Amino acid sequence: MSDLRGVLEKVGRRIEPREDAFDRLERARRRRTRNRKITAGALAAAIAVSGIVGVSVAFLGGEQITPGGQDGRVVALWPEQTMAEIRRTQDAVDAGEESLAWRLDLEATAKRFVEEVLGWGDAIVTIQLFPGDGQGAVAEITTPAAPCPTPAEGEPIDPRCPGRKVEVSLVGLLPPQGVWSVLRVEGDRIRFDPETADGLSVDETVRAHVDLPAGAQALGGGTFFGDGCTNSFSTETIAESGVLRLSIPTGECAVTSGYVFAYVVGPGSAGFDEDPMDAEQLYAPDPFGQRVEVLDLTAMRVNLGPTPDAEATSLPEETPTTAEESPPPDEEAVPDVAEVVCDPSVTQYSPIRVRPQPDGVHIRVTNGLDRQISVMIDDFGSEKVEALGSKERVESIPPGETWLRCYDPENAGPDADPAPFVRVLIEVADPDGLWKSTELECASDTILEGILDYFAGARGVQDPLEAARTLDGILPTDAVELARYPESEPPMVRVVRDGKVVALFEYIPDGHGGWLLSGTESCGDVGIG
Amino acid sequence: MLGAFMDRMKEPATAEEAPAADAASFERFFEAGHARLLRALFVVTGNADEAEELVQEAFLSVWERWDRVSAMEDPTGYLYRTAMNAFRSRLRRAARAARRVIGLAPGADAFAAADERDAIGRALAGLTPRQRAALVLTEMLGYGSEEAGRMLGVKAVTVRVLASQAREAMRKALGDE
Repeated sequence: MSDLRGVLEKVGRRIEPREDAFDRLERARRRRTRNRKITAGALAAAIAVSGIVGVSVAFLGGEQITPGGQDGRVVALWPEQTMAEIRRTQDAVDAGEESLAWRLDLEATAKRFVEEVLGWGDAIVTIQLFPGDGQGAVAEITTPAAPCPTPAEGEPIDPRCPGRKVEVSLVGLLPPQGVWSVLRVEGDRIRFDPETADGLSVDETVRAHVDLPAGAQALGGGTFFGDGCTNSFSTETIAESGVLRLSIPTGECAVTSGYVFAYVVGPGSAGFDEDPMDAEQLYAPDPFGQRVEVLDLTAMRVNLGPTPDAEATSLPEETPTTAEESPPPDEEAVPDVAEVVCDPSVTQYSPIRVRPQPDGVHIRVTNGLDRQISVMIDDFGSEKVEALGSKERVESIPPGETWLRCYDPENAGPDADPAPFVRVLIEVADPDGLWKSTELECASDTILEGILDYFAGARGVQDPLEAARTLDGILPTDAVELARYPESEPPMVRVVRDGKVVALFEYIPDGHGGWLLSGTESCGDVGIG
Repeated sequence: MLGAFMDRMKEPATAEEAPAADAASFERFFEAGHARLLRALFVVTGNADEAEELVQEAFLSVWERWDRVSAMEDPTGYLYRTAMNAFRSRLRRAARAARRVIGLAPGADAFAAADERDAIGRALAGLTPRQRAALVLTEMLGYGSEEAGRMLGVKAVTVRVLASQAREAMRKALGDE
């Protein structure tokens, strides 16, 4: 491929800049500067609750300082909504209140949220932490598929059958060891436009685009707070995919902040016809009973008016900084064995950071299932792990990220590969610089490759480095050294000439403690191999 | 930590406060760099709408800091770092390849939809977003792996690995030419 840059430029020209691009930028700037700037990455999450269905009841609980007034704006969705309320909870936790200890646990907070607000008692939580300052995270929360009768031919599958998924953004608003609060909820089937609501004014509208499965319904609403007053609204119910219009309410109550939401409910939900404040209906044990069943939810916080609270918050922005401003990561704290549990009921933080050992990256996988599973590491293949057993793999994974996936062979259909039941990102940090690159740095585009084969019983060399130094084309000034990690097996040798990697030699074990040269790769113009 | 974070949040002056001369210089900066950034982000994301959103996000962020950015040695580099930060944030927040929302037909990955005649599109579709980003930064925009690594939040060696993987995949998909 002679001109990759030209190829990419050609692809780039498939998109044309809009003629009014700068005008659009100016309009966006004006929207953003209506309030004091939060950040480009702010995730305002609000769940409008009051007066709609038990979703609301679960949020507001029983007590409460009214948000929006003297106590400040809505800064979070759940459990508390204002900084005053959050501080009160924090004080109680700091004083040792046992019943609130779970608020310091990120996973517990995320799980409690979906249990109490959505009624999802069997949630699987995967956490992704934001790096850098601040205490922010996104929890991906899924539920397993429910046992489901096969629909009649031509009939759609009951939307309550497949698993459900939401992403919940959480933040600790009182670091360093603050209680966790839910900032935003993002469902799989609902998208807000605009995606964030900073800068909206009264009577503006958030459009909730809903992709409804057959048989389900959706509705939305909002609750906004002024000084000592509340204004709530709800939308019509829709039974087909479409748009719900969430309009910021006007009226006697001069609202300053609040939240909007939209959610999807399963077929036959009785809550619309009965008392919407009857929370008991939400949590009946029979998933196919006649009750309101929340299948999906998207919600976000909204702050209106010219001057948000100084403590109005967002998730930390990753502002580009100079190298001098960026504190280095704490490399000493990175473990040298990555622990992964292949168990869907166990929450794992992703990515999992690990530092290599001299022989490579160690990943210990524990199988939480009572049957054998298969564990795949991208580019390094699959290995089996026995039921309820553990296996430690050592792989020459280069610095950077790679995916590990756990597969349950029992989930495979006759014609399809199973989907992984656990997927974890592994991040290899190499503070000691153990990794020696295997990337050729050729002046020309020509690369020579060779594959060697042997008769059975062939014997190799004991020292692949010494053997490589005797190959044709190696100069006395070339550096011949082990590539990958110092003790990677099988070994790979690289040749460095004038500071550039110009050749690679791969070896395989001969079965007698020695090594056979199995493959070569070299730049076409260096005359090696 | 929150205090330091909030101090950062208070820094940017609103664009309305910037003198007229600064606004004019920013507009020149925008006109000079908008198309190239848009095209680069289109190749990275494979999605025209997403590319436009990321470009707008990046320029907005730069505009709010224009008094400082304009004094930097390399304002364009700062712009690209900002854009890549936004790209990385999106990858983290919502690892969805396409949005299942009606009315967003352009939301699909333009490369994923490439047909048999579009060998390049299909080749790009076979790359991961990070591979595409590394390839665009190094091959299309000419950044070194150190700078590209800072933009992507990874080590330089990771950029080289990603770009190497991408080149190899493109080479295989397109054949030696």
